[in-house]
Amino acid sequence: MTMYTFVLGTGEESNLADNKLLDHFLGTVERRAFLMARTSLGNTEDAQDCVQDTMMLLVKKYRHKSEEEWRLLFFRILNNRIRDMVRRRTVRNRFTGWLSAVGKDPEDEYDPFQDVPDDPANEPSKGMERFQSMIELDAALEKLPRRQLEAFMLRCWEGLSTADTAAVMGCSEGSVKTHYFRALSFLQTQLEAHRDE
Amino acid sequence: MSEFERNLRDQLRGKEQQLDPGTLNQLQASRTKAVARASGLRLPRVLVPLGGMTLASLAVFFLVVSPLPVGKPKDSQALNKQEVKDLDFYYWLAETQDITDS
Repeated sequence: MTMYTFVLGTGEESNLADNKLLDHFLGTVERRAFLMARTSLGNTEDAQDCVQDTMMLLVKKYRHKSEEEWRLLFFRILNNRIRDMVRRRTVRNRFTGWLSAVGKDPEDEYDPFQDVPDDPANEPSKGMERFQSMIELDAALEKLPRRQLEAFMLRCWEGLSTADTAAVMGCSEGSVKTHYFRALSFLQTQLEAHRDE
Repeated sequence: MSEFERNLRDQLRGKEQQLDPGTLNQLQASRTKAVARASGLRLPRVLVPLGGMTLASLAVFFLVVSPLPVGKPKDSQALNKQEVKDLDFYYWLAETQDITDS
């Protein structure tokens, strides 16, 4: 009986510790994951759903994996979820495109003004510059082809290695390099063009 | 990493700190839900030793409390031999009766 109590007690303690680890890990990736999803999907609600699904799936399937593996698995799931949502939306839009065009409410769309920093200590000119460059970057990212956007977000934003990015995207390292190089070239051209205007 | 890449990364990571409270609350709610699910999923793991002990107890109960009837086949075999002997006697009786009747 004493042994059984000991076994149960240890299990509960390790569960609590695991939950804390999980909570901490998810807390470190949730903001980036949300912004990545919103950049890819262009919609706040879809991005929230996407992040929630990713968290649930990670917990359901990979909670027993080590903390080091979670990061890669999390972004792999997120990437796949985004792809699924984009595909589903493409199919849906084919059938209901004319309907959404009629009933579209411009208030529901993602507004880059939401990202304007609200810090009174900032100088207005600097804040404006930052805001302007953020809008330019958002606009340029929206124009990126999907695979290039994936490579850019994972390599540059999340900071994954080429090998890890390839594992997440499900392609070769050579493809990742190509997508990433093209994405960077495109962004550079776009952002320079904006600054010259 | 080039300076251009570094600038882009800084800009994007800076955005993460400027999310509105509503979005942050929703993200936290999603996280809490996921972690709570982890607790729910772990419950059966805790019950594994309990299930194992129950099975072992049942096995011991069946072995100790209701042992297999070891002596019975011998008895039934003896009974059968007796029956065969009796049959022989009845065959003999029938034959002898046939002879005396004739």
